[in-house]
Amino acid sequence: MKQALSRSIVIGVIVVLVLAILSVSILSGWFGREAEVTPTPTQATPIAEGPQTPVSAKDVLKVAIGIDLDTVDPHGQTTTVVYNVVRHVYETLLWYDEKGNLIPWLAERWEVSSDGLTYTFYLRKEVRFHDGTEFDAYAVKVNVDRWLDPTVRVPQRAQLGPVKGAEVIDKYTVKILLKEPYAPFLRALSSYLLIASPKVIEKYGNKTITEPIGTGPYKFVSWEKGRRIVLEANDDYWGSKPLIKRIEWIIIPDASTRVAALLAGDVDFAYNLPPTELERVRGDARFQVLTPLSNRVIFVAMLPKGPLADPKVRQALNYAVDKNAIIQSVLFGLGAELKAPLPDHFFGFYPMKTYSYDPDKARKLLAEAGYPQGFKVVLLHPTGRYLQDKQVAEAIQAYLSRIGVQVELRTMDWPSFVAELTKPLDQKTYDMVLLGWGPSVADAHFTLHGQFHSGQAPPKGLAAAHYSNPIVDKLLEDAMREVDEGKRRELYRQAIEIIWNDAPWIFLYTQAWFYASAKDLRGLMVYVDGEQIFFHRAYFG
Amino acid sequence: MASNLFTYVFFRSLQSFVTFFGALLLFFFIVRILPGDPARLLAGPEASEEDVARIRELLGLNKPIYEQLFSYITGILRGDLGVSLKYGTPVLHEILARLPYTIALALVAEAIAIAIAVPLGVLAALKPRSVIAYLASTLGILGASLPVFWVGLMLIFIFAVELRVLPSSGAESPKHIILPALTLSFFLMGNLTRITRAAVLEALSSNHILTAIAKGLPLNKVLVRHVLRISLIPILTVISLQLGALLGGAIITETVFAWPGIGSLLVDSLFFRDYVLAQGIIMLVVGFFIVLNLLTDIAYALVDPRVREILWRIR
Repeated sequence: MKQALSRSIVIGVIVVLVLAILSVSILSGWFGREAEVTPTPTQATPIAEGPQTPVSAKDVLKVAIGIDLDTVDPHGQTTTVVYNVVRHVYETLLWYDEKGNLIPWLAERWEVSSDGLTYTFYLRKEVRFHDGTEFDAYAVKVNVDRWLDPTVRVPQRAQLGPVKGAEVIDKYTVKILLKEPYAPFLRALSSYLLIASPKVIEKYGNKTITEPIGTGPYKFVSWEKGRRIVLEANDDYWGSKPLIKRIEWIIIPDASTRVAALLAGDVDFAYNLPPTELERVRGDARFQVLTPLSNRVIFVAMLPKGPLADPKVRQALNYAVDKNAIIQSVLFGLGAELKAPLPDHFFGFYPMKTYSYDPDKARKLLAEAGYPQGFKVVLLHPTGRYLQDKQVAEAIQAYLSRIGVQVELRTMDWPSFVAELTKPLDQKTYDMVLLGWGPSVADAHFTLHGQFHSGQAPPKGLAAAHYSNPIVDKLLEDAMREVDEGKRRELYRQAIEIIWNDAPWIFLYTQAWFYASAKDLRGLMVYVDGEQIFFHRAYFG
Repeated sequence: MASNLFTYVFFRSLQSFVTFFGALLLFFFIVRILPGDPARLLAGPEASEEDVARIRELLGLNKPIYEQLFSYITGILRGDLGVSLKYGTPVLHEILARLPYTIALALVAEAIAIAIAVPLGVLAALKPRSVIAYLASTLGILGASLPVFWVGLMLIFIFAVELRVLPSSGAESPKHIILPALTLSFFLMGNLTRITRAAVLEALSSNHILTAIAKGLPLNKVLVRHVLRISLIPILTVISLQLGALLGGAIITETVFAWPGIGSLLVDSLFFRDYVLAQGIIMLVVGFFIVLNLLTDIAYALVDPRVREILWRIR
């Protein structure tokens, strides 16, 4: 009996070993096909190509996304991927071109009053919602009213700005009034206010809308929770007609399974793949890889307490971390070093001289600040939220230990992490925190005001570094109200300079995404935020 | 005899109800002790504090906890599991939409496991030093030690990516259930083979079996009429416990295969601190377990006259 048991254990161990070897060989591609090495272009700009009216070789596009929708209510949106899906159904008054400039969309043109309080929109005519209702000034007004209605669950309400209300001027002219000047208003409007059919809004009132009816190139067919969302081409679309008849957004929570689904040909496009698979997919001639830069900056916010209250110490920590090495070896190249506290493609960006990796200088600064032996800190970080977040935190821990700063890592799941983050300064039990900040709107206001205005410090907001500087506060407030673009840029330049030298963050990188698609899928549009992909003009060719 | 059975079922059910209510209270507080604010998670990190506060109010999260508990319990008594914080739709509706997938996966996986593990266990017990016996114990070790996500991914890579004979994930057609069900059954098999083997071995060594064999009954007959019948009790217990666990959603398997069952829904709801949805799912799972236990106990009584007698006596 005993002998039998030990024999079977030996057999078991052998089988496990064989399976392990087999799996490694499968994963590294020894089994079956040889990996073909063909360089595929990676680009952050839209892939605009092909003839004017191509015909799609396939009618159904299958897209793998990692999370299920939470809501199809146009005004209940919070999550970029969900926005991405429903934006094929709902549209906005203005939109962005490939370079991020505002362009007419449901509004043909617009005017801004000199006091910056009144925005007049002249609407496109002969546009119909999917239920046949005509799109007009009334439709815009009902949507604005619902956005402002306090009994409706509108998570991003404040992001649209200090909107007072909307007025119908005539059938195709509508005014939106602000309580005070708000410079990013048009960009915010283009990002947040999705326009739904007034009939649906009347039907649902302040309840969650579950029937998405918009004016977009695709009509909503079904949402099978946890499985997929199906859209179908709107043949009466006012713009260029969509080329693919049907889009299925398939929910595959596990990133490795998304890769497998793509490799198996079960899906044509996959969002948000694990960086560790980048080389494998890039090396496979059947696919093209997209690595667009996102709106999300990743940084370590340092709390103004203990040694970290001294700007010299904070600068030292910036010199101590080799950001480029982290980007190359931890992120597999999926990032770009920060040159300011916001991504390069944002309105208001101004490049600064980076804190190059220089441990000697870091040690010198620490000694000058009175900490030649270094000190101990706690670094809070989430896991599974940002690309390689835990690994990045570990890399930072290693770099800081080289200048004598002992880092204790505190890992938390996202909900617990956010609960910790929103505590007031005196209740916080950490010294610095690894965080990402990715506003929907590529405008300096949303990153700088959200992270460096003293009024946004937790528990009120999520300005993670509890940074407080009256001069910066003033600059950011002025920039928020300044309607003149040139003057606004100048205000942001001044704010960026002060923040950069004060170094409330260890400035890390802008995160890129890793998406991949079948080679024959063309005409994809990468949205200005680098996260959303639009299939309005996509086709198989 | 009939009235005996009836009183037994009645008291067992009463006991089950108390267990259910205790679990409800326990879980109600446990999810709320977890750090994290659903309103903040719902609004997203970039939302303003005013919007978060308004959402908290709309969700009823600003009410005192005893009021929340009271309205939850009265809701349950009316058959209303509440409204999901995340989706804004009735919890029951969300669960019922996902439940058929979980049930289908559980049944298919269990069926595969039974079809392979029970014969294997019996054979292993009958021929202790044969190849089959080694195979059975190897399967037991592997089933218990290999991580489920690894087995799932390997099956995907072999059958979907390399051989291209089965779909990688999702639930579009009957074919889609094969890989997740195989993955799950692999883990069920180990335990089931072991239990079957042990039960049959034990039965074989009991006196009345020896008597039956000594009497000259044909071996097949002894096996089917006497050995299997006694061995059935532990096997049934394991199967019912396994089914109960599976109906709670095979969380990892469902996630790896993008199988839209309640396991993946539960993970989602916990990551979102959707208390109401998470509670609904957990109470459903607890309910399943309790009912299955109840049915198993009743089944014991029906299958085994010894158990029946003992039960009647202790009551």
